[in-house]
Amino acid sequence: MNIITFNHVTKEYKNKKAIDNLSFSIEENKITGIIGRNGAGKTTLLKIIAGFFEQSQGEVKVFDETPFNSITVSANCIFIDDQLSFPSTLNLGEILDATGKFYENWDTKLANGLFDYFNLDRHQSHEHLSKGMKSTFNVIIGLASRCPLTLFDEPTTGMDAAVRKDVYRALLKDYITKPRTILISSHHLQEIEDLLEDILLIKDGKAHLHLPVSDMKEYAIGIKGKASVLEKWLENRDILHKSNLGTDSLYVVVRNNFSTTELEKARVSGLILSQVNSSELSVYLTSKTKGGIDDVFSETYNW
Amino acid sequence: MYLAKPTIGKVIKKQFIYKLKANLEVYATLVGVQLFALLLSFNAVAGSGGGNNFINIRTNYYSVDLVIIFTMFWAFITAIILTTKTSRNEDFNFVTTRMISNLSNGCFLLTASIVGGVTAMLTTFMQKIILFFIGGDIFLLPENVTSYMLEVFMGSGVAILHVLLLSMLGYFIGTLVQLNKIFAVVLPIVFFGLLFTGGQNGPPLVLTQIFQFFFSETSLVLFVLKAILSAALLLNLSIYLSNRLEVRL
Repeated sequence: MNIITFNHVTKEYKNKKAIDNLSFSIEENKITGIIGRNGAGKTTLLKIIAGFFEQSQGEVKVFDETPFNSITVSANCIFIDDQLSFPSTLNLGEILDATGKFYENWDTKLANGLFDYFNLDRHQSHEHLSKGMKSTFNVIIGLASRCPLTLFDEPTTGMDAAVRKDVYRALLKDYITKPRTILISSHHLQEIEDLLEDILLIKDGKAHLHLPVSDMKEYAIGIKGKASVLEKWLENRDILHKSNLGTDSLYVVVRNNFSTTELEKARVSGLILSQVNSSELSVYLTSKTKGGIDDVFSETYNW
Repeated sequence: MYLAKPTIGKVIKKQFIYKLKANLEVYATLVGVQLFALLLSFNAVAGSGGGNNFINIRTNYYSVDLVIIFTMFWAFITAIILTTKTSRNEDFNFVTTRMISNLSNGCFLLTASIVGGVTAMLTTFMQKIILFFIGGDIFLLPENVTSYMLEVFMGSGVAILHVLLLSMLGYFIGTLVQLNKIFAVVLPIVFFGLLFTGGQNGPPLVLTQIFQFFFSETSLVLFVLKAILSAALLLNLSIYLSNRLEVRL
């Protein structure tokens, strides 16, 4: 069953399209990573799902309802980011209690357990928390509310490496005990890769790729070798990335639709084949130019 | 999959209870505002004196009208604060829709108006006590205490409605400003423009007419009707206008 369905959805702000004719659907009880560059439209996408924003065109269905002004979506979906703010009159303990009253599946035990583990104090105020502590607290709210649809927008902003690791582990453990649909947007695909089942790659407001993480590992292949030999191989291929290594060598990343015999031939002719990990691949897929930052310098200085 | 299906009424109640707690500091402001107004009210609104060779009589009239007017201002500002981006965003931390958010704000403002109206009226006793002890004045107790208490009671009711009316006006204006920031400039201009146009030889001032419509009403029943209907109308307009407003921009 699909929890989220986007059908040709466009969202415009002052003539700029943040989401551009986007269509995809997300199944129940899957953890999906929303991956994309800054400004690709990840946050806008999540906020449309949460019912904060209204799409300009197209159809959005969450739990079979239009999320904007839907009480069902609001009651069963929680959106967590680092912009969450709470009234200064409430301390952290009171915020937890208040949140618990709103969400039916709220798990007080889990909330308190995580709260103590991350050394938070019930009497602290939310605005005086450090960036990382704030994010940690917000994630606790996101997990303990146990909403059937949980949206995390860059949940680990400001956290140190140890806390990030713990948070991801907590997320995975909690997901195993109470499976639900979780969407996480992040720049750090590497860190959440092991957590994810699916990846939705967004580029310029469009869905660029939507596939299981396992397929992502075989999606492309990296080839290194002499430019002269390599050029021949690259005819009619889908080149995702190309960079120069020294004067006559090239490193390219191409869509992996080679047959085994072709790959064998490549090896024999002296090309070095390598796997491209998914975070590296996502960088290439979302980059605007084939050569990345190198292009700027090669064009500016004729390198 | 099990989905929570809360009813609108239940969520409004939850939001309302949450808001009572989250906005507790508005009552601290209220106490400050009322005390300040009370201080200013120690200027007698009217007085007369007379006497002969043997006796001197001076009569001072005191009133707490000023406290009620200040409370109305307080309600106006409190309502505007409720419409700001921060407090709208905070509503959406929890379960809500735009309509629920507005209706629970309406409930909160009604409560605040009741508290504000009643306390404003009750300051009349505080004023009398202070005048008795500090001013050395003698408070002339009306002959019929029951009818006096009834008067205070009705006065509270009217004060509540005044405060409510202003809070809903504030809420409506705040909503307009949220829809388009240009209202933050236009509305004050219109207000001051109306303040200074007309009158004297021309047609009567628009603001005076509005003012008279509500505050010069001699029939209690009519005033209650006018106030309640206008407050409801303002809240409804706010709900209607803000129903497509996006949050967490």
